[in-house]
Amino acid sequence: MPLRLAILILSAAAIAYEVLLIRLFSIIQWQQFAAMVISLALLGYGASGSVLALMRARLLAGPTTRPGRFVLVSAASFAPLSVGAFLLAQRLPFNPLALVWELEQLLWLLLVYLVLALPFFSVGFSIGLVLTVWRGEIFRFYQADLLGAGLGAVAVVVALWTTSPERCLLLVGAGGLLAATAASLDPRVAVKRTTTLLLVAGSLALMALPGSWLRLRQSEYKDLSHALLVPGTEVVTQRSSPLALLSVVRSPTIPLRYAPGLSLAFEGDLPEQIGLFEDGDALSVVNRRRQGKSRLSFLDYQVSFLGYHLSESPRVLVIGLGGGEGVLSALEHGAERVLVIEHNPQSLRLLQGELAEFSGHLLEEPSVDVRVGEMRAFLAADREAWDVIDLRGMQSLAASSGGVGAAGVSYVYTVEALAALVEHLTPDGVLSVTRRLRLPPRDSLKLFATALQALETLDWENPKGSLVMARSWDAVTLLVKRGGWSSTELQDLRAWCESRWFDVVFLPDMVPGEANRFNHLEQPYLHQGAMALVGEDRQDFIDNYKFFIQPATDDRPFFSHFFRWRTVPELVELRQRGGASLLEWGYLVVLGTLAQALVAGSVLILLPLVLRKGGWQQSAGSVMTWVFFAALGLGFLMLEIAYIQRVILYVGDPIFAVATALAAFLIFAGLGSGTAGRLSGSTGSGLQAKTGLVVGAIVVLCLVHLGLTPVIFRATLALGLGWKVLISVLVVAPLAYVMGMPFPLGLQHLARIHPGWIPWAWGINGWATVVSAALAPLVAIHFGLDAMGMFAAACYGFAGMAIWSLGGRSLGSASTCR
Amino acid sequence: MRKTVLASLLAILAAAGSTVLAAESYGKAQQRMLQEIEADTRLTARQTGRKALDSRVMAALARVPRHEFVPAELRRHAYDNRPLPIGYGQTISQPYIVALMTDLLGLEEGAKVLEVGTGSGYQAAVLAAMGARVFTIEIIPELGRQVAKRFASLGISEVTSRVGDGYYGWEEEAPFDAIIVTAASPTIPPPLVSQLEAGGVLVIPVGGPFAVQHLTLVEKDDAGAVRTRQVLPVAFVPLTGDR
Repeated sequence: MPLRLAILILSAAAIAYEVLLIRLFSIIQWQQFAAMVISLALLGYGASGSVLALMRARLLAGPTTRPGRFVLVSAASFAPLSVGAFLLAQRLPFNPLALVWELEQLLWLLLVYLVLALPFFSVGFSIGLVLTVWRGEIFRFYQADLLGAGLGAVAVVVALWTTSPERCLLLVGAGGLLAATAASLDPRVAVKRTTTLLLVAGSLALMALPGSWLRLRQSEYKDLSHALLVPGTEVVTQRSSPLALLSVVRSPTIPLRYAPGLSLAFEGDLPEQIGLFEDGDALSVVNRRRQGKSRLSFLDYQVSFLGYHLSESPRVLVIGLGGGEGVLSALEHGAERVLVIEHNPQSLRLLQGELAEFSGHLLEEPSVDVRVGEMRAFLAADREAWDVIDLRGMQSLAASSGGVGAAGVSYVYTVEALAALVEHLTPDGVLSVTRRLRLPPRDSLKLFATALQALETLDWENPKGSLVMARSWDAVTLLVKRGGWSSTELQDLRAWCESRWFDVVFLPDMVPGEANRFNHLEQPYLHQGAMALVGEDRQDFIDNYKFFIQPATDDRPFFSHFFRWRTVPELVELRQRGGASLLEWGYLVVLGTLAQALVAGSVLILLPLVLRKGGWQQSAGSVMTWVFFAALGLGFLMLEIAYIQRVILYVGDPIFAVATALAAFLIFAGLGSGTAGRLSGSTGSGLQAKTGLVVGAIVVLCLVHLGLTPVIFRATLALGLGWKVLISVLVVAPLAYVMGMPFPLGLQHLARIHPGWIPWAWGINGWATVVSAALAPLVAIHFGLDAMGMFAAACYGFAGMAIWSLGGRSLGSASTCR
Repeated sequence: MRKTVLASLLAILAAAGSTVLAAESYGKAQQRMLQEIEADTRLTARQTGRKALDSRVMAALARVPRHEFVPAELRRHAYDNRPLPIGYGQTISQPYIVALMTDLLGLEEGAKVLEVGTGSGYQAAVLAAMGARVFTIEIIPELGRQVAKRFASLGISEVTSRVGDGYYGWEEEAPFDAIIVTAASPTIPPPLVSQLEAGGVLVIPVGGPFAVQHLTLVEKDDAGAVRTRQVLPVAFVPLTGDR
């Protein structure tokens, strides 16, 4: 029992560490690269299987307490390795932004992988060893592993709400020592009481250390790092949550002056500003607002204000609070009512608390209301109609120019999302969407195409008559008017744009020569693109455009994916001649992760196993073992990731969604694993048949789940958060429960016919998990989330075929194994 | 003692030898750099509207020792056609971008130029080598002090530098024939536009530190009307299959 508790704690600590690393790397670098680094580091799990397979005889020789003591030491080593690996990794001079110029960056990246693989190796080694040695308890240990992972996923989210990421790292590290403490109490480990006391003292000491003992070293190329180099600039306060690290920055000596989309015709001064940085990037600002001393006239000179221009005393829905820029625009225009939807409660608390006075008590205005939540969930439940809906996505230029967000999921810029937004407009209401201008045009045209398709799904008579697009030198605004634009309104918009030197990109009655006047492009690319999109050859234009601008949907919610294979040779050739900024790095990072997982997995996991002396069984059985355990790893994670994405859209809050889906999946799979233990105990062929049946059941349940889940989610989308969390758990419970069975059943089967192969199976499964994590975004981007589910079902189908053929052929050689 | 003196002498001789060797290899590297810039210019003629850069720009690039503007450990890459880190989260721009920006300013001998964001000082030195009087402002004090020393040691007297806020430009020296803004987060401060001489050009690179997305030009005509122009510094046409 203590050893099972040790595995549970260690598994919880490992998954918490994984989630925490994504948070920590998002802060010190960029999230997309974080996912890449961590997925590769997980190879440590797989590599541990190889080491176990190669050293099995030595590990099992000697006194019976020897393996247990190895487990204890390995678990305890997670503490220094997890904390130390991160501290070391963040000191390595890896700079992802310079990858295109410096090949040596690849070496630094490799070193980061190796360093971060160590803590995962220690966990993988511990769990793999107990599965290898105490084969009679495979089900219980595997159950402890899954339950621990489920609990760890929830625990780390709770911890990130309540304490800093640095302190979380110490707590996670202490998990290793606590696991070792639990292991030390097991009679199979048999260590002295003083060892237990030392481990307890060590874990308490680690937990008691202040987070400030660790220091995060943020990339010097992040916006916050730049800002802090300005004399007198300082971070006055920070708020941390699983969503982001918010840094509040004052710069009294040299003021911040941030107003994207500001017209060059504006001659006044900007108000005093306080900066809000999300994870050291994504700047938004709180503008000082004083009664009677307005310096807010600049708002009327931002291209994002276009949507307000024709409304009088509008009722305004603002999506995303940021520093309150949208609310300020609405109030400045005399809005009758303003409702803000903000997903991060920390931003809200800042503007209601420490920054309330500076913002002129913006959120306390009688006409202003704020809701914490996600846009889609709110729209599903809300029945109110709005005169103006203001949506802004002004991401940092460093990130956007690098095109690093390709694999980022967004349910805000999909056809279904825009359709839901325009359905919430009053008969004359206007949806206003503003984004940074990227050249050559990508997101602006994709947004235009998405809006057009959204209006077509709503069967509007004249979708193009409802659209207007205009741009400044650095931002672009799309307007969608529910009732269509009148010629008087269009003349007003023209005049407003002209007086501010903004270019119209698209007007329903636009004439040649109107485009490209004030902010000149070599060709009027945006206008040409918009005209092509409203024309009859839209699909041809989309297909032939050099960036992927096919509208995003809820099934393929990758608005920031612009990558096209056929453009690659051209851009690669031009990479050091300006082409680097046009390469969509996010996609290449995902692809690179998969390629590296395959190569590194082969080198670290498969090759040692293939080359080991006399160990490689050149039989069909060994191939089928490979197929079975790899298919389980691929299928399990693919289905888990697809479900998490569905739950994010359904539940709304991404953190609740991830924690709920992950915990539900792992905990029910853990319970299923326990049940599998009760199913076993028969002879080899019986076990093989049961495993085959279970896998078959998974395939069927998986297909049912794929069909029913969207129906259930759609029918209950308007329910409260609590209900939706409960439904998310119940929907996945049966499938997850059965999915917890085949791995331990397969191991048990292997224990009877080929016990020497158990660590090998563990390693292969770990490797497949890494490959699956890297493959999942590619499948989703190209084929959609439903396809991920089908892929997972197919994987289980292969697993079923493999287990069926595994037993019979391998039994013959069973006597050669221990 | 005698051994120490001997060792020091040998070290000095070795260093002097390597300097001579380095100067030779820098010369060759600089020639290669210039050839690459010319090739890039031909390649991007459609986007930039230039088949070749002004010969004075190329001559200025040939005169300025770029290796003096990069950190010692990166000098071997000084003439590579790529941006290099210079510390403080800043980079020295890719030589081709420096050349193109300089060319886009269309400077006459003796033109008065304002630079906001001195960085390594390389861009200012190139402008000075073009015969311009350069006023440059750096917001990061450490970089500003380093670059002032560098200008002094290289005998670049046509550049006046100071540390401070570039938002309001350099009012006492305004108006300027041209302005370059190379600050980390690109904005176009209205005071700078007003300090631009009629017929003048302001240029600002937009993008991340290691990848310029495009160059934005603010052009003020003789009547004082302002318009911007976006120049893509890469031979890429998005709408058709052509290059």
